[in-house]
Amino acid sequence: MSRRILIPILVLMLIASSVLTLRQTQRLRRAQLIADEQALAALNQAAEEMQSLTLSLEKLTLSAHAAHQARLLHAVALSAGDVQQCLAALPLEQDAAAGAMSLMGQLQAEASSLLPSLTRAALTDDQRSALQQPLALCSRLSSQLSLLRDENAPAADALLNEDYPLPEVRPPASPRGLPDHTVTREAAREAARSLAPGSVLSVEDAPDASGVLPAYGFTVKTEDLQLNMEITCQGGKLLWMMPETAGFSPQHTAEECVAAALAFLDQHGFGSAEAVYLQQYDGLCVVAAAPLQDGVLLYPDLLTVQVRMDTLDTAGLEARSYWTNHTTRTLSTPALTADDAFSALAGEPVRRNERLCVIPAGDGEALCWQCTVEKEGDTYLIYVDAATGEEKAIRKVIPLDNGFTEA
Amino acid sequence: MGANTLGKRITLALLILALLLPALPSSGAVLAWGSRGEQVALIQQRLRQWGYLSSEADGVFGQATYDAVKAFQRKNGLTADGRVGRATAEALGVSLTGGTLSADLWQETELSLLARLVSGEARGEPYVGQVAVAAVVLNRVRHDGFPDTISGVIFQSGAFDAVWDGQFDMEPTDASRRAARDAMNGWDPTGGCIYYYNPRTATNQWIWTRQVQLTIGQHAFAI
Repeated sequence: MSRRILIPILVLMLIASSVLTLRQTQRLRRAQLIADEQALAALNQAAEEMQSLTLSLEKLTLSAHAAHQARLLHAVALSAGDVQQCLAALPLEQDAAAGAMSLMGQLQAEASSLLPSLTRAALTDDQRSALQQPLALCSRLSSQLSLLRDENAPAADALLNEDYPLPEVRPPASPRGLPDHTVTREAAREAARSLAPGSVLSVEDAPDASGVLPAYGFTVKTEDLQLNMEITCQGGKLLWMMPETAGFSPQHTAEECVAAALAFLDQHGFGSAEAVYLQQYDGLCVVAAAPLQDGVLLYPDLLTVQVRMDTLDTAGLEARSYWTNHTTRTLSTPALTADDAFSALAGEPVRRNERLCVIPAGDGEALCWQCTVEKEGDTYLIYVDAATGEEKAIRKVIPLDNGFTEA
Repeated sequence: MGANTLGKRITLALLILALLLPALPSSGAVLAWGSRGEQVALIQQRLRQWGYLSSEADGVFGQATYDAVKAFQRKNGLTADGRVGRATAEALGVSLTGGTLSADLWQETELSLLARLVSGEARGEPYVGQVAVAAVVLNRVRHDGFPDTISGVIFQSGAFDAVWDGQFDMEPTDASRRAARDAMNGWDPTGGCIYYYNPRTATNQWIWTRQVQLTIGQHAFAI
């Protein structure tokens, strides 16, 4: 192409490039302005919601009527949630607003826990007195947020880094399911080798984990798989295992995979269990299994297994809940029959699969009756305390493209 | 220097300059009060489905839709401005460039957000490291000091570099999708960590005060 044509074309391209650069700079400036505006909007909203929340708490300390107290508590919970979200939108250094956000989280939780009692009676004097401390903290936070709207206010990080109490961190419970003795790295290495399917080529060290359940890390290579796993320092048990890669070609059904998963658990000392949900992805069948004791499902001890859908080998396991919670429970005879427990269900739905189970409840566990009901095409699991008849939980079974789960 | 040589050098210089066209950001469609059309109707359908909107999905973005969008944003840790931009659209399960995400289920949307985050933050890391990043997000959701939704944690201001430097917008890898699923199914190689950082690049003095529980690849995971 002759220079007479090429140079004008290049000049035009250069001009176009400059124009586009200018427009991009303007867009970026505008984006920054929008970000600044959004941060300011979040601050303003947080300040307003905080004023509203503080006012609701003040009224709560005066109110004597249960229904009104319920409305005020509901308002507190809503405002606390809004403030928390607004604080999250502020451009702050990490942890600057963690204390304030925790305070909002605690208020939400406290309001939610008090609401049910208001169906029986108004708040007691002690309960109202207990509101003084959060009220004082909220007043302080409200003042800080209002101050931040002032142009001359100090930086938000400095202002919000007040000493709002973070939730008490309970010391972690000793893992109930692990043996007491500790094992050496070599013993753990042999345990890792024994867990891998097929012929093992090598077992190499991987990063160890500290914390609640210290564990040795290993990478185990077989002929067609690389497995990452952790073996607990206490007891030398498999804490978790997962394959480095997947994408296996499904050759077996979900039912066969479930059977393989349960067989693996039984063969490796986890005892009998029952599949409670499953998913399939990347050629893996992921089975969540609840251990059984005398036919009772033990949900706090949940295990999750990944089975290769091409070979039925177990390639993954998640056992943290099991080792933390598993023990042989003393299961009392239920005070209520299943019919008694579910007699108050709204609309008297058709129930099926009624059985006993143990579920997490508050700081402990509860023996419950579980049943499955269908409503308008959806499936629900309902849990009722087998001793008191209290409805503990309702879970909806959610079908996914690749299995199902609960929520 | 001859005229020919000079001319060639000028030509080459112009070519180089012209070819340094800036990468243009996407047009970044935003739906707001006054917008109309199919996308608005789809957003209204989602809001109705989840109980935020009671009026009909008529495809007109008015007061009711504005209020519903704000309520949805507040509930899900997004900036409550009543406008549907990228973040809000993703949380709703709607693509602003047309069509919808692969599934209209809430869990698939959360999975998509988590997979993008993993891909943006930990692409190239060992698989265990990718699962660990996803686990940190889920641990934060459970922690009182952070928003209580996945979208709230991911979009918390300044939390993750990938959200702000464009890595989050890239299509997630297959490994990051699987890592997100595994984390949502309970795998947590960190044992409860809520922070991670790259010791080689971290400049924030505060993060160095966190207690490290383990290091995987380039990331130190801490409480």
